[in-house]
Order: sequence, then C-alpha cells, then structure tokens
Amino acid sequence: MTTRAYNPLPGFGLTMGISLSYVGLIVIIPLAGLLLSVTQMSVNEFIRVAVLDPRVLASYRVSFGSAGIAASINALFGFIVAWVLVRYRFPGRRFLDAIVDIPFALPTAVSGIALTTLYASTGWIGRYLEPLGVQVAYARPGIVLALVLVGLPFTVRTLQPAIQELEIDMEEAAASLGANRVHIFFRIILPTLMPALLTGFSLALARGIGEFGSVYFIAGNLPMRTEIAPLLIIMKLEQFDYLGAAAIGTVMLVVSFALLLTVNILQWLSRRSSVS
Amino acid sequence: MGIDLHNITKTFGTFHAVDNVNLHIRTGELVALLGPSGSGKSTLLRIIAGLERPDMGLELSPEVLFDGVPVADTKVRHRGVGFVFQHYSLFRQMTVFENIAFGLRVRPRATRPTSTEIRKQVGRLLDLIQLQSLAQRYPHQLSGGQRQRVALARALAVEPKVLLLDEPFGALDAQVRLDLRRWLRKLHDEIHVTSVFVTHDQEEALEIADRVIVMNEGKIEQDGSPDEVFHTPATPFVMRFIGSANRFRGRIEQSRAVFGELEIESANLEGSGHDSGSEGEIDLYVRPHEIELRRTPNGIPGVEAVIEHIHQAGPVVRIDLRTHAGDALAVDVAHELFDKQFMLCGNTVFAALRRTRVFVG
Repeated sequence: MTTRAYNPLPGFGLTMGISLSYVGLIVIIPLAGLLLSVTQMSVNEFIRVAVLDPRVLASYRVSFGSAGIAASINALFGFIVAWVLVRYRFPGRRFLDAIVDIPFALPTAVSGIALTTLYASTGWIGRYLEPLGVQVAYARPGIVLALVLVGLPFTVRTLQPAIQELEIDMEEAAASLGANRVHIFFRIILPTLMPALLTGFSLALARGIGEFGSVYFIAGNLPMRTEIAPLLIIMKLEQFDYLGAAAIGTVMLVVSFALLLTVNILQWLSRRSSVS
Repeated sequence: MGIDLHNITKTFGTFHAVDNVNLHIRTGELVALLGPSGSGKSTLLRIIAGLERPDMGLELSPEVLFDGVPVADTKVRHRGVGFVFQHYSLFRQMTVFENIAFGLRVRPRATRPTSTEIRKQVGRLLDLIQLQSLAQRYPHQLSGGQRQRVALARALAVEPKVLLLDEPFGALDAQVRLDLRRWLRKLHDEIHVTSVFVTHDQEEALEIADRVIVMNEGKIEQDGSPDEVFHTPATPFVMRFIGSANRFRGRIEQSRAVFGELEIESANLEGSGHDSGSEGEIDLYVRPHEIELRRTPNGIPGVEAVIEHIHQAGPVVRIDLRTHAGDALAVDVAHELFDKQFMLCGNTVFAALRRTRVFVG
C-alpha cells in the first residue's frame, strides 16, 4: 500500500479535475472531433487536398509567412513600446497604455476595413504610396499590416511586467564594470527579457496564424497570392466540402502546434539559467 | 587613490538627500559611511561612483576629485570604480565565472585581455573568494554570502582604483554577516584598495573601518576613528546613534545644571556646546554601562529610581528603571556585579552616573 505524499496546499484534486475537464471540453474535444472527421478520408485523398494542391500550399505560405513576419515586427516594435511605457514618465502615458489594448477589443473586421480604407490607392496613406510603387492593400504587405495590428498587444503586454522587474542595479553594476549601452543591452537586458520576448512572439504568431476577419478585407484574396488558409477553409465550407476544410484545418493545427512547441522549448532553454 | 568631495548637495524633489558635504578620503583607507536610512549615505556613495550627479550649486559648484583630477563629467564606466550592491545584482543568466569575467570581456578590443589571461585572472579571484569549485554555478544556486563574495570578485576583476560598497552585508543572516565583514577587513589589509562602504549598522562600522563618517539628514555629524566616534561623540545625534544612551533634559541655572532632582556643578560637565556661564536648555546623556546601581548615594551625582524589569539573558544584565520624575533609565550591570540582594523588581535604588556628557538642547 502506498501513502499519498502530504501536500499542505489543499484542493489539488478538485482544481486539477476542474482544469482537465475544462481544457478537455473547450479545447481537446473539438480538436479531437476535427482530427476524427479527417480519418474518414484516405491518406492519398488527404495529401491531395491539403498538402499537394498548389493553391492550398500557397495559402499556407501566406498565412504562416505573414504571421511570422508580423510577429517579428511586433517583437521589435512591441519591445520599444513596452520599454517606453515602463521606463519613462511622460504626459499621455496612461492614454498610450490604454490604446495598446484596443486591438484586443475591436472587431477585427472593423480594423481590416479601417486599414483598407487608409491604404487603398485612393486612401489617405495609400495615395502617397501608390506613386512610389508600394502597394499595401490587396497585397502581402496589407496582410502583414493587419496581423501586426492584431498582434501588437500580445508582445507589449507580455514584455511590460518583465521590463518592470528588470533590476536597475544590474545595469548599474554592468556600467561600473566598464560596459557601454550596447553591451548592457545585448548582454544583460536582452537575455533577461528573452523568455518574455519569446512568449510575446509566440502569442502574436499564434494570433496571426488564426486571424481571419481583418485580413479578409485588406488581402484582396487573390488565389495563389493573397489568400490565407483560413479563407480557403471558409470557401470549402461554403461549397459543403467539409472534409476538405477539415483536412486544411488539421494541417494548420499540426504546424501551429509544432511552431508553438518550438518556441516553448526555446523559452525553456533561455529561462533555464536565469531562475532567480 | 584619494577622493575629494567639495560642496556636494543632492535633492530629490524637495528632499535634501545630501546637504553641502565636504570630505577627503585618503589613499588606501577603509572608510565607513554610517547613518540611519535616509541620512544620505548611499546617495553620497552613488555620487562618488558617478551613478548620481550632484546638484549644481548657485554659488559653490560641486566637485568630485579622484587623486586631484575632477571626474564630474566622467561616466560611470570610465571612472574605474568597483561597486558592490546590497542585493548583489549578479547577472542571473551568467555563471559565476562569466560574472567575474564580465568587466574584462567588455573592454575595448585594444585593452581586452586574451581568453587565457581572463581565465587566469578569474581563477585568481576565485581563489581569493574561496569559491573555485563553484565557478560554473549560476547565481541562484549560491547562498547569500557566496553571492556577495562573487559580487566583490566581479568588482575587483577590473582592478578598480576605489571600491564602493552599498550596505554590502545588509541582506545577509547575522552569522554570515559577521564572518563576511571580518573577511572583508582581512581582504582590505591584503590589497589596500581605497574602500568606502555604507552601513546603518554601527557595530559593523566600528569593527572594520579605519575611519567612520557619521551622517544624519544629509550632513556629516562626525568624522573620526571608531574610538573617537564611540567615546567622544561630537553631537547629541552621534551620542544617541552610536551605542545607546539615557537622556535627561534640563537647563543651566547660574553655575549649576539642573535635571529635575539631579543637579551638577556646571564646571564638572563633560561635553560640547555649552559655556559654564551661559543659561539655557541642556541635555545630559549617560551610557547604560556608565551607571552604577547602589543602595545609597556615594557622592557621585545620581538619581533615585525604581527597578521595573531585569533581563539576565545576555552578555550583561540589562535593568530598566524609572526615575521619580518619570524618565526611563536603562542600566547595564556586569553579571559578576549583579547583586540579587537589592537589585529586585520594585526596589528603589540609587543610580550613580559615573560618566555624563551634556549637549545644548
């Protein structure tokens, strides 16, 4: 007979049970249903519909590629915004801080339409870009722009607490040892913030991969060029090709999971040495 | 390296952290800046390091000189100071070895040692702090005392001209603290680098410093050897802050100092800031170990008091009394002189003040 280890925190059984049921109901069962429906297809059929179809392949590239670029842009600029919000005191700081959250709340279709209006060849910004040969709306840059907008809060909000917790002492210690600003940033600040930066990046990436509403309006949806994978899923559904839609969904699920897992491993590696 | 500070003032908003301080620190000295929190000692240390800039005065401009050379416009990283923080501030994502090597690795290419030289130098410092076996550990795997020794080695790696320590033992356990401060004293005797450390612990300052600078409210109250500040405090603040002291408030009337029922010929008063001729408010201080408890007066000035508490657990017997005027009086009695016959709670005894000091109130 084994005795259970004594745990001074009560309620483990109850809370763990609730957590598992909740995640199961909300996440695992729907996804399992998706995978289950795909099993009705033969392997060859699956590969033909979801892997070899050039139009589908192109949409994966657009979806994952744009999300990757947008998340990278957000990692950089979100870092700067978070830094400014935490480190400096200026009039309007609270206001700027609040604005960062707007993409969370705004219906994505609204932001998509707003961006399209601005960047179309007749829009306020688009009309100046057109003569320069830069096309944003109805092209890849437009998709990236929309994904940058919806992903921004994720990098800012994950970096803010991390920057807040940076010990100024460490920077002062580095300076007293002869380090210049570049050294301090790349050797002290960046490694310390790396886990948070990766979390922000992966959240923004995930959000970008799944985004549909705002992209739908700005992308123009040209086959092979500006179609994102979620759009193809909708199109298949409209044609009552449920299996085809499920197949594309499955591929996205697997790739997304692999990407997030990779980021998590990277994060674990960067955090391993810096537990305080 | 010698350090000179002239006309140093620093305000944060309306708070005067440092108020017109002038100070000279000689080469090779181990100096303690001692004071309660908010006394400006840390700010003064940070000004020496270049982590804070002194305020520009209206008439007198502040000056910080290293060996006579002004360094006001020299950035922290060029000042050649080693700074040790209260909370160690080790680089979390670096090993002990990399922490110590940091200052050498960030040097400009022209003066950067080769990696063999760095390894040798770090090895020497690890020997010095006796942590050779922990070179590959990360800071979070070390104890507080070990972390602070690593922080010290990291500061020494760049061969600073001056070592500045901000409450270096403040975050440590009592026993570790005691060991580490003796170790620091020994280290200083070996390497003789000019060192300034900030502390609010008088025992620490008196034990290891060559010279103690007592600060209060941004000003220097006294500057002297540990002996001097302990035995001949220059101000009432130093009297109260260093060691403990009983205070009697009184005034000078004609040629007598009157403290309630206690009267002393003012010619017999020891202390500063009073003339035997002048009249006015005056405070009299007596250290607990300079009071003798007797059954009857013996000619030494003193007061009658009632014993309220007796604490025997300690190096001396601490007895709390209350005078008839209602003042609390603390007395330290050596265990071998503790007389159980009459030193009893509730008994009225005569407290003979063997040594008193007065300051104008």
